[in-house]
Amino acid sequence: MAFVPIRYPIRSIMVRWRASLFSALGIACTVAVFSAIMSLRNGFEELYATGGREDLLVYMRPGATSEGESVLQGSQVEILKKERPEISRDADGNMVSSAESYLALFLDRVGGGQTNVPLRGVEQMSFKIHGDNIRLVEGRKFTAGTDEIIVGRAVADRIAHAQIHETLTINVTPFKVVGIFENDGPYGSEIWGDFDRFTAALERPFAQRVLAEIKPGTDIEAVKEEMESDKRVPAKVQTESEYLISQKNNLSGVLMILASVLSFIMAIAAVLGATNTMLASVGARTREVGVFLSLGFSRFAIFLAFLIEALLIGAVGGLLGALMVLPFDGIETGTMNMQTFTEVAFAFRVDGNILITGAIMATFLGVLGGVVPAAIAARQEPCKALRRH
Amino acid sequence: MSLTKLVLRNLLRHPIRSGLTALGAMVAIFLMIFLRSIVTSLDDTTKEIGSDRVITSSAVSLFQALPESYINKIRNMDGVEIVSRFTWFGGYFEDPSNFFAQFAVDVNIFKNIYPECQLKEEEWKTWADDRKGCIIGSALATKYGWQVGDKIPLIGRIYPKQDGAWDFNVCGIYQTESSIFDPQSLYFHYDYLKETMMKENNQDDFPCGLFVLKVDESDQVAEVCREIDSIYDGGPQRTLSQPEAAFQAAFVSMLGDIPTFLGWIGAAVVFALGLSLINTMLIASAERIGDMGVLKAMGFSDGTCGSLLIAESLALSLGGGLLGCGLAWVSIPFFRKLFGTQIPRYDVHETTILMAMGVGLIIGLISGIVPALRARRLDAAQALRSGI
Repeated sequence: MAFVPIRYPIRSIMVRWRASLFSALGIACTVAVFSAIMSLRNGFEELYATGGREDLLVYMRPGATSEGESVLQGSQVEILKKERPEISRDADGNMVSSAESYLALFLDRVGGGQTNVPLRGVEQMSFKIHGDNIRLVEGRKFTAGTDEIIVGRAVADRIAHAQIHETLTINVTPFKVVGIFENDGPYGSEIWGDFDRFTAALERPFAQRVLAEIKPGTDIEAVKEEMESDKRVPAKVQTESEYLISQKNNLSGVLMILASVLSFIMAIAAVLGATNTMLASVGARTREVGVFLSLGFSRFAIFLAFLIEALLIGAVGGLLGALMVLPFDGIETGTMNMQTFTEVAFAFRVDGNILITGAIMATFLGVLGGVVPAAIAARQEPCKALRRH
Repeated sequence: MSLTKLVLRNLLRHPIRSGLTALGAMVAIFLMIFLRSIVTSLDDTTKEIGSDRVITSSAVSLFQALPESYINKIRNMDGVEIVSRFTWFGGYFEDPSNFFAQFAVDVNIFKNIYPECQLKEEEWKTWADDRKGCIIGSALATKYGWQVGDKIPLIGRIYPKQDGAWDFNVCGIYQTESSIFDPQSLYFHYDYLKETMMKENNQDDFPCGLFVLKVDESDQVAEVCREIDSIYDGGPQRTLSQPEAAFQAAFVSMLGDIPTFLGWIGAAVVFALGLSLINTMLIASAERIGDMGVLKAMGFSDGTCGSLLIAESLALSLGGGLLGCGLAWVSIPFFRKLFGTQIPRYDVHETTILMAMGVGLIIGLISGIVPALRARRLDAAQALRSGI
């Protein structure tokens, strides 16, 4: 069976380059919107997926679904920190555990408006627990027992008075920013300071959670079960990564719905556009089709030729769409995480998966737009087609 | 044959193409309205709110409660008519995904602060008399099939109870005509919360989430806010008093960059629509060169020939646009259901429709003008020769 040479659809696109480009751009817009939302979701998910560790346990009040809802009184904290057998010890024999307090503060954004920024009170042991996950990039750590704080990179950039050497007032106490740190997870959107100083400044004499490093080989499931029904201090226990993953659900789902709904609707418009272009293309070449048919090319070969033309338009659209969305990669943005009610900063993450999905989608949309016109072309009667001017 | 009829005939020359283009315009206009409506609906939650209401909360954090004793000073201030304690309960029914707002309030004061909350007089009375009583919004009642007399068990995440769930008796189902009063909330007695929690935790005080005040005259709002905040400026807990509208607006502002992002998507949609329409019109005008030659040979002016194409393009964009507006209008109930409590008051504004039709008009004009300019320049003889 003879196929129409591939040169034919390519030439045809070149001849009608303006119309082809327009419909390719329509497809490109659809793909770009889809990819942009998916890369936003990607960045958000990555924040929670990569930030947590499996060998850290989070102890909260039973029933709490996030730190903000949990309250642990001083006596409970002491028992958890000092008496749990699964917690490991450092070289000096100290338990590797720390109390953390957490409160979302109203702070002013750079450029106006207020937002909720998480404030985390930590103990010196916390730095040992978090280890290299907290990277100080400017200044120094806060000194224990003083009114000094360190802030995540995103906070320094987005919040007023949070640059190094500036002073941030918490309730009525001024705190001095002495360092800026980075973290791949949500901690990078937080303010950290001395646990006891925050307790005093906020008049909140309790902790939100205990974080501890566990001995290798600990049966985590057994600990969870035991703590749930513990007589003295019942607690909800999760690994740090489980905890972080449980904090991401809402926005991620919303973005997924948004991406699906928007790209579906835009795809309809893009397919309509591609169909139009292909219809015009077929219409203008009715006579050529007649020639092909009389030369003995099969109807299927003709169908294929026009389908390939549509596919190429889609592929070009995919390429253009990728070019449109690539500049977004790495752009920092921020929104409220409904689970914790605090602002988290994250970046658009365009990765291979998204680009490939986009390319497949674009090609598919092109083909979809080409099916009907290609079928119309293939069904012409040779004599009639030749007679048309 | 009149020129209008000619435009119509031209449109019907390729019914599929015209149909597809109009459908494309419909989809794009619909999307534009939809995206814009998300933003306006979010903003709406803050408008038309009673201008005589003030909310006093912690200036430090949304999650920081205030000492209950603050209410005594606030109540006795000049210009303050009544004050209710108000606390976000944050519980859930059976599963954490069954989320709706619950508030603990001072029942009799709440009644006078929120005239938006419409309840039968006898229901107000039974609620006031039942310590464990609550009222629920009509939409919430429909969602879960709850009726007056039912018991609603809620699990407290922020206020856990040793023996499990809190039980609330439904004393009434409130209606509301106001677009800012959430029909999916539950209100119950503040004292029930306070007394239970003090017993659970063996504490002798219980801080309050926030205070809702009604001022005597709405022009006193700013003054009252300033005065309250100045009392507690030195601590122990600083307060932030603001009109209720400003308090709600803060929640929208916390969404951060999302509205801007939706705007960008809207721009991409408009861009795509413009491209598709220009494309169709270029294709159409290329086929019409012969027609143009005939018209010009018959003595029609250059301007008339051009305006035929503009009219055709406008018919496509505005016709499709009107359908898009209709679709946006019809789909309001669907999106309300889809968004649920995320955007409880999804609505399409008249201004949004006007804006979308404006964009449709501009795109229609531009898409018509490009080929129209070409048509104007055509020489009749040449056009006749190349066209037929």
